[in-house]
Amino acid sequence: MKTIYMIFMSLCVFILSSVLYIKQNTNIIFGDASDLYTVNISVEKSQTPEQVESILKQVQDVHPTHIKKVTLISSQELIADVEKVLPAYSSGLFENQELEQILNPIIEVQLAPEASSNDIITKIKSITGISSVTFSADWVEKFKSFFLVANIILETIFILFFTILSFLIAVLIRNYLISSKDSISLHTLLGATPSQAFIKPYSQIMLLTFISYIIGIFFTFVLAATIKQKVSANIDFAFINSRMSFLSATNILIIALGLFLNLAISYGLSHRYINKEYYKHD
Amino acid sequence: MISLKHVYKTYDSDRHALRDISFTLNPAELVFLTGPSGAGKTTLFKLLSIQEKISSGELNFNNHPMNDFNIKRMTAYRRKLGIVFQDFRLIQDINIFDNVAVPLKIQNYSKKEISLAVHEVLERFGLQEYANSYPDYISGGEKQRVAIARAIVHKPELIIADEPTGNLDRKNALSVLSIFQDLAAQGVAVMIATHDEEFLKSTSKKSKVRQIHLESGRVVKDQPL
Repeated sequence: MKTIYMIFMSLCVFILSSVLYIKQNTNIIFGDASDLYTVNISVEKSQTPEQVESILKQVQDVHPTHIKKVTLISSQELIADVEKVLPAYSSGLFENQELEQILNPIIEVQLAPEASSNDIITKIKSITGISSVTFSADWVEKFKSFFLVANIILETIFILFFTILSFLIAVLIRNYLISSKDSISLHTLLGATPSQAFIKPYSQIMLLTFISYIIGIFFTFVLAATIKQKVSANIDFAFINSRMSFLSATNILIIALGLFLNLAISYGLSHRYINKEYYKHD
Repeated sequence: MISLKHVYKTYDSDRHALRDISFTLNPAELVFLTGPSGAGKTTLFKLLSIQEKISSGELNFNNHPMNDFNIKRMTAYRRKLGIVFQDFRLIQDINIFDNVAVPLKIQNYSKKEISLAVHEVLERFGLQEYANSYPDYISGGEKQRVAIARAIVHKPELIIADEPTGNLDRKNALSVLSIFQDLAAQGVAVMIATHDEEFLKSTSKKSKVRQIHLESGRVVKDQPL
């Protein structure tokens, strides 16, 4: 019984934490990938700093609610970035002046995920003094609805799993406690109070639940590491890999709280059963 | 000490297991409850250990009613009671020492007191070598002795034993009977259910001995031996 309980409970924790892990990472990668919704505006070289300021203002006014952030990156900042990333090449291949001629100032526009990027880009393109506009997340835009649906499905799956497994866990705990009824019955007949009769099987179940919780979380960790390894092997998924994270402390706590709640409910139910069975004789 | 007045136990509204049972069990008294199978001995034991409710009548312990199922009073009463079950009811996943120690642990005795009391009673029953064994690895007779040891380890005021010598040979049965008589002589009230009437003849004069004979749920004989 103890082994079956531990296997089943570990499996429940593993399933719940895996669904939470997948949901968490899907959210990070697609759900609120605000930095992927970035429009890069290349400003013409001929623009004076005042004109650039004016362009910046006009961009901000295109859609104040759907444009989350507008950042101006000057040519000098871009050169500094190049030198930082490619120190060996920047000194040998390019002179600062050459780089200044190549690199236009950039205005980085971060859109809200719900923004309609096409409309915004069209309006931006009509602003004078802009040489080109690029949107880095066309594919995200295309699959936005899909990600939204996927997210809803994952949330539904999680809630379903959580409900079903919570019920199963509660039943399992109750049955485990009731399976100790010979010992409980003897204790009651020898003068134990309901709490005394209950303390041993209940502390056993608490210990088993804790061990199962650790095992379940450990296997989720193994699963997460395996997924990350597979993802990092493919360069196309590099951006996903950098964003992936293991279960957050909040999610780990949610599962622990769920189990605690189940233990408390099962304790209440079993305690009532034992009280009725051995003390009240109704 | 314990008295029953006009006690009835009825199952399924028309099956009478016990009818109009009245008797008093006093300290320092050894009572044999006899009768054929189905006479109501086990039912009476269940009522005495408050495993079941009486249908009507009164059950008092030291002049306190026990049929109201007050948990505090019930647990206090059960702690003064030593029970020997017909099927032993040993806990399989703990060793003999711990099985015998159960009543003491329930009553929050210290570890030292438990160790002393358990070893003393195990020695008395010749079970010391089995202290660390598990119930599955000892014989039926040994289990019987462990069950008796557990019933007396906390020095109860009242002992009820259902066929306590059923699994013992004559020699061991007489030895157990002698222990019960000693306890009765020390002031404990003892009630033993048995169907072996021959057993009654082996009692000594150490304590007051009485026989209550049940038939079809009624007391048909209540007399000193």
